[in-house]
Amino acid sequence: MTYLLKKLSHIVILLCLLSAFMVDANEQTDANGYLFNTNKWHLATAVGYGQYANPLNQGSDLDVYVLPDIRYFGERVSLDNLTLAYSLVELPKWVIELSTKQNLDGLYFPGKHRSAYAALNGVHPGRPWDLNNDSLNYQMPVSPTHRSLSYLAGMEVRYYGELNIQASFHQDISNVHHGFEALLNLTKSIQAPTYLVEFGVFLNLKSHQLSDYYYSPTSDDLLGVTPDYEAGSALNRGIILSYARPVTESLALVASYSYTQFGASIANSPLLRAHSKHNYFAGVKYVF
Amino acid sequence: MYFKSLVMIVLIATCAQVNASEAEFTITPAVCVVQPGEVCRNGFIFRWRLPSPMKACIIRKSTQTTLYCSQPSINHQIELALELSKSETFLLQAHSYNKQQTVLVKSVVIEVRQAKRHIWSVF
Repeated sequence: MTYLLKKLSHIVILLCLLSAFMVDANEQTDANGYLFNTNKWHLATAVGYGQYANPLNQGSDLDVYVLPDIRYFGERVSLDNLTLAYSLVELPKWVIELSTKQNLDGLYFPGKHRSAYAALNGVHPGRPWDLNNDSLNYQMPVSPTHRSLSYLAGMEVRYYGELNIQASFHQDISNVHHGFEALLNLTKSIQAPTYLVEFGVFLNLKSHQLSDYYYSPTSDDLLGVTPDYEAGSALNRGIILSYARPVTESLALVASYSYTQFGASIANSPLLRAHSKHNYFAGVKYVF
Repeated sequence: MYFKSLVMIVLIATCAQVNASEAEFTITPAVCVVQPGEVCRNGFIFRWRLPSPMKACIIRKSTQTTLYCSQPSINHQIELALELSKSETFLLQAHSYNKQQTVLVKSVVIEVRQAKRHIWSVF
């Protein structure tokens, strides 16, 4: 039954995406769901079914049912789940801000409260009713071993236009790996009163220190064997497809799919079982 | 298990929705973001679809000014350059079909902030 439901969810996502692309392009308008009222909390949750890949050896892909969405926008400060930002410049088409964010690579590894962090980040394995779990589920034997989570701070620039552009650079401030990551994200958004379609492509550069810390195997990972692989800097790249069909002002059918191709030095790590990963989620999202 | 099934049924039912085609009227963009104290100067695309060919006019509600009248048609689209100092409502009048849409003028930072993710985004 579970297998059938998973297959059904695949078909639903595909149909939703196809139906979106078949809609008359002349219906396109700009409802602008990127705008949020200032000095207000914005709470939402998505409920449905999805699966997030854990690319590590012994790491289980996890089912996902609920994704919380907690945002606050002050006149300068903003919060988007675990991302805190301070706006330096905000113009009708441009935003430049200082921001901090959770690094997501550490969430794949065993460690305390990974499920809670994962659920709040919305893009990695997590089950919100499983927030007290100390680690993600791993099949025996437990390998890879623990890595610390890291928190990053840096700057982000966003441009809103026919093509939304997001570029950011964030450095480790948690004294974990002393590395950085840089992101370039291009998103084409087609918005109408009855649907939203977004197609995004991204490049995500992980520095040598960051890749080395998370993806170079240790002797513990290899059950005592001396490691002979060192991960260097890596350029991950991928796509994100999203579709939403608002049912009311507060409720929408939502479906998202993302594909990430790992950069060579991460993909070739003995810790990984795959060179890429697929995440998907389909369900309904309610905005409180 | 039943919860999963329920979610899937809702998804399929919603996906299967077909737009009922009565008169439709949209304005693009629906929101004009400006710096505080500035006026919105923009080109707005007015689109409409009527059940049968008929003449239609666009009226600015605040001043009752007729901005444009079309020749009889079912689908029509016109871009008009407008200057808006505040949010304004526009009427589409075509025989017995009356529709209206409001263009919102919002001051960035003071009234609205621009988010990294869309309101319906999950990733």
